[in-house]
Amino acid sequence: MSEHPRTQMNDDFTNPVRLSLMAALQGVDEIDFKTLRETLGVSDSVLSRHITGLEEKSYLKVRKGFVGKRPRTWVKLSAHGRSSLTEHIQALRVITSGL
Amino acid sequence: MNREPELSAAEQLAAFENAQREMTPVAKRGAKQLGMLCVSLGLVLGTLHGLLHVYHPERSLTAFFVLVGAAILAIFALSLGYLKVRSVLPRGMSKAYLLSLFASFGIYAVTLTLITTPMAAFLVVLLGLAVALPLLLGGVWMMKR
Repeated sequence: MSEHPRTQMNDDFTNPVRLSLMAALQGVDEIDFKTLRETLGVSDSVLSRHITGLEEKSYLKVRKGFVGKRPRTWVKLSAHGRSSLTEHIQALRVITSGL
Repeated sequence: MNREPELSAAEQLAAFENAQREMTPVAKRGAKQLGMLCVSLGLVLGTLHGLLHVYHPERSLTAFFVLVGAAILAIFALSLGYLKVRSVLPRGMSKAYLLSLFASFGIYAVTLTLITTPMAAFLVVLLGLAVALPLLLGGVWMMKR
């Protein structure tokens, strides 16, 4: 008997902000913090909190640098994050296809 | 980390697709910025190559150094300008950029041996275009995505 698709769902992505963050990162090689915050429509603190949480689980990679004298933070999906998200979305599609 | 409400499978899928849709104009803007850098670099390299046929070192060493210096400055300024404005790098574009850049530099290096060879003006223009072509094609492809 095959496993139910819900077992393929990743609890780390069920939060709406985290899911939107992962979805936004899926289509890019890299994006800066400010653009990500504006696109998702969340506050600095909320975005920072979720980025830190996802980075601790190795779903994201964060790079800090400077452009001139201004600090910039860049965020990208790790290979682990990309494959985990693909599995999660695949499971969602299977589950919702039966609705 | 989990203060927001958890979503059902259908809501998650809808949120995922919505976030991807919202990213589309942002990614397009990033592609346009990188595309413009590619086209500008292609024009600089192609023009430099053409001018070096006219002002090659055997003809005027000073003009040669001035041209190469001006091209280096232009490439530096364009790259710096891009780094300042870039906010997003759409997926696969960094590879496309590097591929175009190395192809243009490769053609530039190979055809550099011909700069002292006398040739018709249209051939000089053709060689300049050949140098610029990978970056121009890469840039236009990025801007049209």
